[in-house]
Amino acid sequence: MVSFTLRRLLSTVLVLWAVVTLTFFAIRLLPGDPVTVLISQGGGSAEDIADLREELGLNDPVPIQYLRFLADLVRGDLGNSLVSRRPVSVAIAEQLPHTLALATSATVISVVVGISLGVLAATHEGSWIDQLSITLAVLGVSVPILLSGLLFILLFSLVLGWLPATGQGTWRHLVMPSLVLSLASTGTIARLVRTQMLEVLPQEYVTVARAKGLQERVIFWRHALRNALIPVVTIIGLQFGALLGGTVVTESLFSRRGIGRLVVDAISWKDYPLVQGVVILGAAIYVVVNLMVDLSYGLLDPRIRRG
Amino acid sequence: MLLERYSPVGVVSLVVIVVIALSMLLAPWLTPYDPLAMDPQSQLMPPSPAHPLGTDLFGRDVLTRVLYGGRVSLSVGVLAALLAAVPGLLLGLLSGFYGGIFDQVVMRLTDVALAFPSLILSLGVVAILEPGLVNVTIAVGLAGIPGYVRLVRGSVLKVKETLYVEAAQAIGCSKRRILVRHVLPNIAASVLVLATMDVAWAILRATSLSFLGLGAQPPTPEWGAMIDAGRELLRVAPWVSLAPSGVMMLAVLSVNLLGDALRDALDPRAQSH
Repeated sequence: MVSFTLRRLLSTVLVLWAVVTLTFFAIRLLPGDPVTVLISQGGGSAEDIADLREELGLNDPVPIQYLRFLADLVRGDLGNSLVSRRPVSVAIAEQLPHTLALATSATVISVVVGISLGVLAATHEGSWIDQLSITLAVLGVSVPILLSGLLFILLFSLVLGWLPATGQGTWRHLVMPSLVLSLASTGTIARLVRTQMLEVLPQEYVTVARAKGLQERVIFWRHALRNALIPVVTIIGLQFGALLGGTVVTESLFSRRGIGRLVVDAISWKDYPLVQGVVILGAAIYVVVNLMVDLSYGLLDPRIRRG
Repeated sequence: MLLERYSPVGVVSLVVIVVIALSMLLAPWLTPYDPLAMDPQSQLMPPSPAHPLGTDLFGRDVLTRVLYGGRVSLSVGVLAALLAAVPGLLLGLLSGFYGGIFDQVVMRLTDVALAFPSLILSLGVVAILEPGLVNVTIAVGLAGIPGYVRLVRGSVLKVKETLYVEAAQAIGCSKRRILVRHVLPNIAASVLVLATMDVAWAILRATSLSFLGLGAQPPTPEWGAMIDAGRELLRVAPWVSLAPSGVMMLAVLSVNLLGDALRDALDPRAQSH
């Protein structure tokens, strides 16, 4: 387990380095450096431009720029925004809590509801409960955020008046966006849990547990589910990437502040350092979450721990 | 062989797709209105016989715009899927079949590409190429490539181990011949299934990017841009945003169901969950 963890950590560091390097060169090797962009937007005299080139270090050879970029990065310095001139790390830090709140609550909803729905369907295989759960899961996967979000706002804000349609601040603002964002993952998890449970339930140790006279509830939740869980945990990690992407659309739909709004604005303003920062951060979060998922296999399955 | 295992769901979704595609193609003959011409006399009119899906803020017929918008959204989806499938297939084939350093390089690059959440990757590409419909298509296509490389390479590795490839080698077939005549036909089914699903995904992704204001710009009729424009009008004129998003869901859902049916028909071993 120790060597597995170490190897996994090392490969994570390598992937992160590759992500950072790829992002750096992709943004620099393409036509149009940020300064030309600023000029084309009508900003500043020749002197300003020279100053800005110097300030951004664009006069140095690219390898030097790259090394400086890496050195800054490990200290948490992502450079300054071209538009606001504030540090990118500060701009991101301001918006990140909003996005994390949304992504986390959506993850919690999809894990809790998805697993419950999947277990419910599997334990009532073939009945109307199973049919209903499958239908709900398929709907969750198929209805795009752009439709479910509109329908939720229409129903819960405009018709029923239960929840605010836009903005943020209280938990009531968070309910609808997280629900809408969670739908696809909930459906995916529910379908997978059902398949996994149906594979596990006919196995002998389940029969043994029944023969011991254990309650069905205990059999399902403690014996069957735990053994069905590893593929589910993998999917939860992968779904987190989709969720991170989904926050961008969700934030826009519900007019919420957050990383999504930040990056869309940055793209429109051609604020490359800010875009670069968000892209690197998004990949880093996703990579680390999937590292945690891989490491959790050992906790879920003692065989992996020993092997 | 397809007909023996056809599923009713697959047939229905295929019919829906054909109907949607035809009505977008035939839009100029199906509706008397212009998707761009404004009509101040008929702003935000609710659905009626004259305007089955109502009118928008500028008095344009929403049904007309949904139909013309479908042309944009569907072709962007199909193009982006092709843009992902062709390079992905080639890279995966060569990488899996020839192995070696080329394979190592391709796989490491794929790993790195998959480390980005796909929307973030698309956003990054749009940022570099500048917003716009063409660049959104490229961005969505590029983000799809790693998925194909993984799938194709894995399938090639499996096929390479089979007896019939060994037999082909034994009778002296060239590598090229084995690749084209034996490996390719055996992975075609799974690539076709992925490509079908990918069209749905690409439509959704491209619509989202336009919704965010990074793709089609108003007044171009495009589903994402229409949803964005109608979002603020949800209280007074819900049809403006619900019509394009409803049709989009219908298109995406039927393409996905067709993909499911294709998978069940072409590859009975692969089970859906």
